[in-house]
Amino acid sequence: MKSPRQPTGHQRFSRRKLLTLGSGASAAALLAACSAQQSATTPAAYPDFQPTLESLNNLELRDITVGFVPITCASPIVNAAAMNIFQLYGLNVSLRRYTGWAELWTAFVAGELDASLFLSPMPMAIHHGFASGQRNIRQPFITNTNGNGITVAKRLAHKVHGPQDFAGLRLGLPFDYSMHNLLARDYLLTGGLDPQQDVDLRIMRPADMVTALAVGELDAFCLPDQFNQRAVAEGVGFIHVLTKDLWHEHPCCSFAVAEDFAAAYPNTYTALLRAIGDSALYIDDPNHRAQTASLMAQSAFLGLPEPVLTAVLTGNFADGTGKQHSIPDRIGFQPYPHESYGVWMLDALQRWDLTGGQQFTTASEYSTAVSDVFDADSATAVLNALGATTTERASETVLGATFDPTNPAAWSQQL
Amino acid sequence: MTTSSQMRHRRGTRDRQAHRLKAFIGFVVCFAAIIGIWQLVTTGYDDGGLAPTPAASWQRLIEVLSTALVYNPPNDFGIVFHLLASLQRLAVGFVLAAVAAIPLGLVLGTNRVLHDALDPIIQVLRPVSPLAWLPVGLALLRDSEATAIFVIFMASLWIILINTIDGVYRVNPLYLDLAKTLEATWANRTFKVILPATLPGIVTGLRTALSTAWLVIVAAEMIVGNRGMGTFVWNEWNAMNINSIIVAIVIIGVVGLVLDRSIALLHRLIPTT
Repeated sequence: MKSPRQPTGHQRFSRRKLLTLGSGASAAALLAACSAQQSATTPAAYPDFQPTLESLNNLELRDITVGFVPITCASPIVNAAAMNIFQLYGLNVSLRRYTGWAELWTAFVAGELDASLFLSPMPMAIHHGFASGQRNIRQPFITNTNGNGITVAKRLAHKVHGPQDFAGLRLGLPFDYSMHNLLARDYLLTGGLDPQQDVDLRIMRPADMVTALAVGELDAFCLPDQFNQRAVAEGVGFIHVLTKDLWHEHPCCSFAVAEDFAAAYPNTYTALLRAIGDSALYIDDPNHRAQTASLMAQSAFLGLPEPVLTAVLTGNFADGTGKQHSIPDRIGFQPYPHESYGVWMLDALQRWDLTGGQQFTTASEYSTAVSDVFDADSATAVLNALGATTTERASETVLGATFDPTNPAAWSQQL
Repeated sequence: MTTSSQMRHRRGTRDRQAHRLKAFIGFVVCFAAIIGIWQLVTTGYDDGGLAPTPAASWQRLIEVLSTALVYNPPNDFGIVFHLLASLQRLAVGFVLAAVAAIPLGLVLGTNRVLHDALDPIIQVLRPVSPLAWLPVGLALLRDSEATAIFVIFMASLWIILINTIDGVYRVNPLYLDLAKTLEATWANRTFKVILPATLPGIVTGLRTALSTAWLVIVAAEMIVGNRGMGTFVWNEWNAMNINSIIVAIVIIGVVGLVLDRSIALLHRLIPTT
């Protein structure tokens, strides 16, 4: 069949001409795009990473699946995969992404995962059986300190200035066993509120909360900084407070492995700690933050808009009220698991009735419950070799009051 | 005559009683078997209660029922208030859907042209999972309560509509011819002939729609809302209380059964033709 409308010679000529013109004009841009894409898909294009420690040659196991939730807290683990640091330490790690913490908890206890990112309070809850699902666990690293905030809907900008202003508001939280839940509740306490009675606390998927804030389904949320920054970028909220200002260098997420895994594959365990420790300290360096942000923004890793991730990692950000900030320690990557962290979390879990009825009273009960889970020895061996800090802290300053890990109960009475 | 019919009646009652007894014994045996298999499967795990055992779930059921009437807003509600919230959403969404779908179904059932014009749209929208409407509802309505009701509405609408249209098609043509012969008015034809004759179809539609809507509300509430059976399941999962999920499953199932049976009673109210 003949097409009813054949292009005339003139039309055909002009079309070809147009094509030639177009290809000439965009050739440079096309080439540039190609090369950019190439470097993005081959992380080896960052040859500047030299492993600080030796890789072990007697690994019992090389292929490991590590669980994570795509948030900035996972940076040391994700960066170790993105920059091939795991491979440099002889490991073949595949990352498995989870969208919620309950799924991850279930997968870990069911034995589908042996190593994973966790919210810092989760390993203690899993080890001591505070809720459904128990598995013995070792928690060697805190993957990040700080790096979270409370964002409030823009429409409440004139109303919310301090913790006392959250009365009657709907506050989104990611999980019961999270620092967000524990810190936000104590923050509300400092405003004279009873978080159970005066505030509508809602557990939601972090990914749903920016939308929920936008449509007026939530009034505020306490989440990792990428969501706070996302809400600012979308113009729906403003950053009310960074958790860094509630507790400077507070723990947030952590890396932990099953006890049976660490016992069966001790060298593999050490290699994992070397790779993640090396990666954490590399991205802790302010000079590496922008590069890390662009690498991890890819969909294979965190899958976030790069400007949002850059604002979080470099600490140069807009807070949504028109103010611009430069806070380099907005998020930190010093992995040592301080016992003071564990004692504070345990005390908070107990105060909010999240220990499944288990009671901890004496300082030694607290200390034992924490050191059963925190693997400070393994962390110290790796971090000393990397030149990172491993000194225990005698006290923490949380919400303006001194927290003494040898007398945890005294802190909440000061609030 | 009377005695023989009485005897037949008595024999029928006896048969029915025997049947009921057999069915009840069968139920008890099956129920025990399910609990036994459940127990066997879960005792194999040493996971600190991740897989809930029958005993732990029973204990949790007692706990949940003993705090069923707690009303301590905004964060602490007993199961009764979760249930009431879900039922209320269900009722509103379901009634709205029925009010929209039944008249539309009657119109489309009697008007071929209109039916054929709208049929492609209905057939495309009908198989879409009601939950897919949730983000759209939230974006348009900007309110979680309204969105949950909207999802119920979408879940029920098509089922009631299609069953109503189908019901109209099944009306005995004799009735319509008779109505025409008697020169019945439009109103008389619709309300005195078509509507009563279509009732069985409508009730079937309502019954199917209600169980679908109950299925959907629990899923929808896991994403929106601060009270309801879905919210209860979601919160208990995030607190890693897996035993509570079993309790919720039992309650949701029993309520679903009661809903289905109560709407089935409507069938009995319909005069048989």
